[in-house]
Amino acid sequence: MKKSIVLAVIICIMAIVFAGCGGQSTNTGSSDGKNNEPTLSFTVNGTKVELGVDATDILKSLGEPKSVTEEASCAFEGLDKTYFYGNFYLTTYPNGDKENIYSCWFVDDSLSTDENIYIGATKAEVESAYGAESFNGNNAYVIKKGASMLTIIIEDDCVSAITYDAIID
Amino acid sequence: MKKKNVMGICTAVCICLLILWLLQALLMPKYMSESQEGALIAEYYDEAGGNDVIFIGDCEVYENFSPITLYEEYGITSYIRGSAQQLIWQSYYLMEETFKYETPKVMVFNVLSMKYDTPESTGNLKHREAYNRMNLDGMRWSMSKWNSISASLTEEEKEWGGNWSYIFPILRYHDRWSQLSSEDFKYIFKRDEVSDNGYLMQVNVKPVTSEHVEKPIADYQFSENCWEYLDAMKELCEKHSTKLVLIKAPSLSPVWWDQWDAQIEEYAKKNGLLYINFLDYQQEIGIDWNTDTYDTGLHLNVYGAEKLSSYFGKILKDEYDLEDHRNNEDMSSQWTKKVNSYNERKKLLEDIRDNKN
Repeated sequence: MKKSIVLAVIICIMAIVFAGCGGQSTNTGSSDGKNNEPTLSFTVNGTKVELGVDATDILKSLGEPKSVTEEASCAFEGLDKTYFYGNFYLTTYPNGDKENIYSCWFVDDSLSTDENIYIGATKAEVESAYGAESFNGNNAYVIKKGASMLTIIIEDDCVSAITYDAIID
Repeated sequence: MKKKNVMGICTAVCICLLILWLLQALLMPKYMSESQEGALIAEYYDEAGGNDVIFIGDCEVYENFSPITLYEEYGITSYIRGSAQQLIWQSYYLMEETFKYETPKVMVFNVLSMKYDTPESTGNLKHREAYNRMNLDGMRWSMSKWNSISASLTEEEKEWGGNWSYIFPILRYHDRWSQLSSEDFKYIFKRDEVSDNGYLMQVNVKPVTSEHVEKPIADYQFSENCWEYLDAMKELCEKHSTKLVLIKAPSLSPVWWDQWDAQIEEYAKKNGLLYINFLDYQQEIGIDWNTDTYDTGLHLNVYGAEKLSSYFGKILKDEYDLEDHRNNEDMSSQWTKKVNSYNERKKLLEDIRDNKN
């Protein structure tokens, strides 16, 4: 009788600990960028770029970059990479053996968003393209879609920077 | 009969607790061969006390400064309480905890983490949670640890009651059983020291090949939250008559924007603190980015860390008149052992590197 009580209590406690806590995985790797909602996309040098997705085909289509910088993150394996293509930078993060698109920013007015906003466009043009509600009240328009974000920074009533980011959860 | 049943339940609960404790010890990551950064926080307690200088901060302290060089060249005793992507609230609570163990003359804080306003602002949340573990699991239990946990939880951790898993880490690591290796059994109760007074040595060389760039950001103002923690650090140091020194290590990436530098410069001036942005002194320090970094400029290797420590040691000595402990018999015998251990580790790592090549 005593033995069976001991056994029953042990089994109960173990079951609670090992079965009742499935909220967190020990995998510390990166997200695969998949999300039910589509992310923002844009076209650079004739290539459509989506955020958070496998970068293989996109990098292939963009051709040889002018430079590539690799950066390790503290304590984790894999390298974040920054590709420079002359008129924009593209960064990726490691996802297993592959790399996923993480961010992009334009460096001149030769590129524009799919809504035709470019560096140098006026604040009014941005507002017309993305709506006043996307203004952050300070100096930027922030547009979110799925696990991605477009930030358009305004200086002196003109666009000074355009950046795209994947949101990794 | 009832008495027997109660005894039986008590025995069962005790056995359960013992088994759970053993399982927890087995399942928690040991950080011995991989991600050694995770072992740093817990190593401090054996070395606590007797340090004139304590460094607090992220990888830019535990990779860029060598306490052994500070001792060898100036007789300064120091320890680095650094951990991977340590956020400012974690630094504050580590500082608070450190004062329970010792009162250093100088507290050095690396200001890079001012850029992060919330746990979410660091970007990759799965990494963030893992960094939280490396920062928090190694701390001994105290209110400082509890408050640091509360400040550090990501929204996702809060959603699934993650704070409980810091109290009972088995809740977090229960599914690690399939990843267990011989290391988990070997280090179940006792870990090796991976650092030299908090310094995590790297001997490899990977030169800087191109300029590190980062995307522009909309708002360069540090957040109120970060300023409040910096104020709290200043007050904590004042309370203990410890000098707070703000530094920015000479790491080339992440980019330290001029707008950020100006804010810290102004804060330091306003509060009478010493602030050194070592990026401005690379030439005087003698950093050669072809030989002194192991990861293209993010961190220094041991050769760069020794140069930087040699440079900073002179400033510490001149500004704060720190005692030369090399003349103290007890201290010098203790530190001679540390110096020997450091040199042995350096030679071992260099041999491994050379054999690989």
